[in-house]
Amino acid sequence: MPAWHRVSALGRIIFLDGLRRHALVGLVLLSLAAEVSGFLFMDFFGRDIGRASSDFLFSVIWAGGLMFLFFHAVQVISWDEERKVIYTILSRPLSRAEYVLGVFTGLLALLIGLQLLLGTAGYATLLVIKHSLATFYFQHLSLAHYLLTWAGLAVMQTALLAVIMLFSGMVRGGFPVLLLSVAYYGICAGLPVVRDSVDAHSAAGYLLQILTALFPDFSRLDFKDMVVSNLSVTHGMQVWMNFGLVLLYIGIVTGFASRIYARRDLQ
Amino acid sequence: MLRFEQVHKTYARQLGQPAHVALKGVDFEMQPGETLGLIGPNGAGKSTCIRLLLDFIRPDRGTIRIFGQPPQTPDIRHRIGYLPEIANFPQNVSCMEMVRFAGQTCRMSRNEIATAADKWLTRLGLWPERNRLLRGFSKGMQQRASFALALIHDPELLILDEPMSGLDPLGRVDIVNLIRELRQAGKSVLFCSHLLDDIERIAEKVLVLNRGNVLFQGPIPELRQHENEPLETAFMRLIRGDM
Repeated sequence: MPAWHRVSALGRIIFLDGLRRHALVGLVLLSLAAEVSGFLFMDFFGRDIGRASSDFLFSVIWAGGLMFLFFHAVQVISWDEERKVIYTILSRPLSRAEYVLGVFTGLLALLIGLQLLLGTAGYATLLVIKHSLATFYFQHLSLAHYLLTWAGLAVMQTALLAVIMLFSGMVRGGFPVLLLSVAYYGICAGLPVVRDSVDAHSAAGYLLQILTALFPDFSRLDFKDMVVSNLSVTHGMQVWMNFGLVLLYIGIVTGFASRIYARRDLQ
Repeated sequence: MLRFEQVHKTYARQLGQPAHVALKGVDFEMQPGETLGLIGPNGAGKSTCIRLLLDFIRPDRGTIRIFGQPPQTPDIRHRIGYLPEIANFPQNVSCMEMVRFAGQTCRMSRNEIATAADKWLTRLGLWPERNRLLRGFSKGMQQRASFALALIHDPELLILDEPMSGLDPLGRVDIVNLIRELRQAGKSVLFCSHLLDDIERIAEKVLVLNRGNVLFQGPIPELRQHENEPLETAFMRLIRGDM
């Protein structure tokens, strides 16, 4: 079993190292600037301003998280290996599994920190837009649904991070990990569309359903339509089950990532 | 304390590089309190031995035991301090943060970490720089910071891979003195170096490796043909005899 004091000690180092990386500071500033530009964005729409602004802001939050994952997270383990930092880290009483979990924890803290910042700024932007318009243009804004949407987005990106950890243990170098991660994301996004166009009772339909266990349908955690409408969650149990399944998926993938990395020769 | 039995290691073929046999049935052992110098030409297998000891790589065949346990057991590294050939750290953390990390992984309390950090960072001349980011450190300072990490948890066995690399002459003298102090304090030291002068000044015994084979293991005087023979001459004779 991993010792959490060692995992958290490494997680702290990964977090501090990332926090002071200039590229990440630039990413945060760029994302915040994009969110603030939501004030200009709303002027392009004559109606449904709330919906358009909310979609835009969540797209910025999503894109900010993806940039973090695809430009920083994919490289952390390969940087450690290429620069031999891994020798300094693994010469401590740290198992390979604890190393993978430590990196995952540190990157997750950075990702959630980024999403919290962007999520808070996004909600503030929506509030300002709502109060600067007549009720007719922006009728409803639900904090509960905003938080649910934010949580869905954060969980989806955590799953992507877990998959990045898995690929980082399977192949060497940041670029191959990036290619595999982008391909994985593309398959996850495209699979539901393909599945909907195939007869569910055919062999291909069954195969696609099985593949969904490997490439989850993240759209099931996408609730942004509800943020500015008065819709409510009709199948509460289903929502929690979807969250639970993705969390289970994250646990399994991280477990595999740890086991695979434990077998690696660090030449 | 440390034993290699018939250890074989071949690095698998990689893109553009053929497979490389690094160790061919290496046997050696080290007793507690010993200072063993690992010497040999480039590609002899010195770094491979050290990487195997720390479980960075795994042997193809053979047995390795440290403190009676296989190297895969993370807990034995509570008792080991390792200095890599080139000090490498995450660039955006400070020296003190890295020392704290090293202490936390060994279950040291805050007070223990603070006391040990004060002792070793002062001894290595890094105390005034402790809050500076490591990316701003010179090569010599990074080497000393790496030494501080190796010593912070008061290990029984020190594994030093080229401990003098990157140090100026003053720094080298300081590190040689430090290793001698540690030896007197009862620590076991396994170190590899290309500098035979340093080996002579520090080690009691040497292990000579060439092309993955052990050519000699024993006290330095036994390597010499006569009392006044320089270590370098004895070493060259041994290596040429293996060609």
